[in-house]
Amino acid sequence: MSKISAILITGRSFGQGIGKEHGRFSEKYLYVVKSCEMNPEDMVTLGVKRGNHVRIRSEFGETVARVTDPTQELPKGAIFIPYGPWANLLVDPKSQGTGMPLLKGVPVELEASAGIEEPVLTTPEKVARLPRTEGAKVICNVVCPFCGCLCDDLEVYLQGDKIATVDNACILSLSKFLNYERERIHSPVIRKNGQARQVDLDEAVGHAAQILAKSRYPITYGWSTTSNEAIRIGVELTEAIGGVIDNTTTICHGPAILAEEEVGISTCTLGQVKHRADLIMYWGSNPLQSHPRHLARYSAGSKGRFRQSRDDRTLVVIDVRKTYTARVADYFIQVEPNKDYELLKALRMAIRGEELEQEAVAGVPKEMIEELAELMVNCEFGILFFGVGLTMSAGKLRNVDEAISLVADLNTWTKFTIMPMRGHFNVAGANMVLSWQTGYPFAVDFSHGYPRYNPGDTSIIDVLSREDMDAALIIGSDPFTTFPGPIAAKLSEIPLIVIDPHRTRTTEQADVVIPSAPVGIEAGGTAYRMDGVPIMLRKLREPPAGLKSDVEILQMILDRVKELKA
Amino acid sequence: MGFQRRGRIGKSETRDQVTLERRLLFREYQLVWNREKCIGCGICVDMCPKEAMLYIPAQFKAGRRVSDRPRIDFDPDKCVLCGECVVSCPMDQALIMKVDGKKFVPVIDVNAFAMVTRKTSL
Repeated sequence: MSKISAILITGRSFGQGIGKEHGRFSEKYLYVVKSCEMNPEDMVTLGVKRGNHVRIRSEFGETVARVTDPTQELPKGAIFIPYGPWANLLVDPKSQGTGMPLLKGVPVELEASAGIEEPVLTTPEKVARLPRTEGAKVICNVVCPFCGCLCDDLEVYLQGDKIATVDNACILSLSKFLNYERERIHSPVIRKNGQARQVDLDEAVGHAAQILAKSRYPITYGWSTTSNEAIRIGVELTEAIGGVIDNTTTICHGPAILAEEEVGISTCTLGQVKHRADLIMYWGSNPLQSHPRHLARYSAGSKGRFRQSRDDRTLVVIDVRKTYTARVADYFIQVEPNKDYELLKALRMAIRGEELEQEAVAGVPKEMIEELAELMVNCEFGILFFGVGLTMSAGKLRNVDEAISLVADLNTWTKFTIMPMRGHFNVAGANMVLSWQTGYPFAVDFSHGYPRYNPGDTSIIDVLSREDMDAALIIGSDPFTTFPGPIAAKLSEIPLIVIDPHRTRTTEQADVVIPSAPVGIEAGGTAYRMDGVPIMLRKLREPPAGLKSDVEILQMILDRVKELKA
Repeated sequence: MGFQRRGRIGKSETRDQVTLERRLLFREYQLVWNREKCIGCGICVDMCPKEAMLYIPAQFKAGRRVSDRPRIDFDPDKCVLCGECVVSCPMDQALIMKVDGKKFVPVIDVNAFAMVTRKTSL
C-alpha cells in the first residue's frame, strides 16, 4: 500500500462553521470535521477516491478521515482538514515558547485506510420555527455575534418570541440565529463520580466558587464569545483566586499580538478600507468562508466614498491553496507551505529596489515578486489583511513581525495599513479588556498577586502541558474541540467549571456546568470589531426561565468567592 | 419576459442582470442575479443541490488574472428556485429571491434549510 508525505493544513470551512451552530454533536458537524480534501494527483497515488478513507499520521497522533470533493485547489502534497477534534489529534501541541500550538504546516504521512469508525451520533433537538408572516416583528440594525466583522445591519424577524428569519445575514450568521436553540443546556449540572445531577443555579454557583476558592493555581479561559462586561468581571475573579486568565487569542492571533508588541502596527478602521483602499491583500486568509461578508461590506466588493466598485480596487490573495477568495482575485500568489517568511523578506527587498539573487522565492517567481512590490508601492491606499495562515504556520510571530515591517516600509512611499482577521466576534474585545485592566492582552498570571505576562510560560497551552493548574473555569469556548488532543486531555484530570449556552465536548467533561444566555441574542453587551471599534450587541428576546447572562453568573461566582476568601 | 408556459421556469437576460421566473396560478417566483454585485466566488455553484448553476472561472497565468472575472450561469431546466444559492451568497444583493414581488427565500421561510449540499464538505 503506497504512502505519501504531506503537509497538513487545518482551517475553517463553511461546513465546519454551519455544523458548529447545528451543535457540536450534530450529524452535520461530525461529518464535516472528519473529512479531508486533497490534491487529485495525491488521491490517484494513494488509490483513493471520494468517500474512501485515508489514515493520517503525524509525530503527535493519528486519525482516519473521509476523502471528500475538493472545494479548493490544494497543491500536491498538501491535505486540508477543517478545524475540529480530529484535526487537533495531528497538530503540534508544543508552543515553542510562544504560547501557541502549530496548527498549520504540520508534516504528516498518508495512506489509504480500509474504513473509519463512525462517530456516535445523537438526534438533533428539534427546533420549532415558524415561517415569516405579515405580522412578524422586525428588529433592525441587529449585530451579528459570529465573527470579527460584527455586521451591524441585520434585520431579525421574530414570530412570537422565536426567530423566524434574518435578512442581510451571511450563511454562518443565519446558521447561528436559526439554530441557537439546538443542543441548549437548560439547567445547571454538577457531576460527581461520573454521575450528573441537575441542580439549581445557586448550588452550582456555590460549588463552582468552592472549587475556585480552594484552588492553588486555577485557569480561566475562553472569553472571546462573551461581552466586554463579562470579561471585566472575569479579570476581577481571576485576580481574586490568584490564577491565570487567557483567551482564545492563544490559538489564533497570539503571534500577531506578540509581533505588534515588538514592532508596533500601522492600522486603520474598516471604514477607511471601505472608502479609500485601492489595493486589498489577503495573506493566509480565506474571508469568503471564515468572514463571508468581509468583502461585501468592507473590502473588494464594497461601495465606498472614493472607491465605488470592484473595478476601482485590486485584490491580491496570497495563500498556500486556491480558496474561494483566491478565485475572485486579480493576483493569486501561491506560496509554498511554511515559506511565508521568505516571501515577506523578498518583498521587503523588492520594494527597496534590491536585487533578488534567487529565480524564485517560496515557489513564487522573481518577476512576480517584483511586480507585486511595484503594485504595493504605487497604490494610493493599501491594506494587508492577514489570517491564521500566517500566524500559525512555521515562523509564527516572526511572519507577522515581517509583515508589519513590510507595511511600515511601504509607508515611506504610500499609505499602507495592516489588520489581523480576528475570528471570534469578541476576541479583539478580550484583548482590549485585559489590556486596559491588567496591561497585557492575554496569558495574564495573577498568582503573585499582580499581573504577570510571559507567553510560553503563562499561556494556557503551556500551563496545561506542564500540568501546573489544579482547576479551570471555561467560558464560551470548547477547548476539547479546539486544543491539540494531548493538551485538551489534561483538562479532564482537574475540576472543571464550564459556563456555556450549549452542550459541547467540554461541558460533557465538566464537574460544574452553568448554562447561560447567548450574548447578542438573549443578552446584550459590548464587543470589539476586528479593527478595534466597540459595538453594542442587542438583546433580541428573553432567555428561558432560570437562565442568566454571563455577567450575572460571573458576578454571582465572584461574590461567593469573595465571601469564601474572607 | 414574453410568453411562457405556466409553471415552467423562464430565463431572461439584460446587461445588468439575469432573471429566472416561474409563474404559477396564484404565485410568482423570481430569482435575480445582479452581474455588477457578483464577484464570482462560485460558492452558490458548489452549494446548489440541483447542479443548476455553471461556474466559469477566471484564467490565471503565473499568478495574474488574464481573463474576465469569474462568473456564473443558470440552467433553468434544472433550477427549482429553492434559494440555497441566495442563502450562501456572501455578497449583498448579488442574488435576490422574490415570491409575489416580496423578498422570500423558500429554504429559509418554509423551514427547509437544505442540510445536504452537492459538495458536502462545504
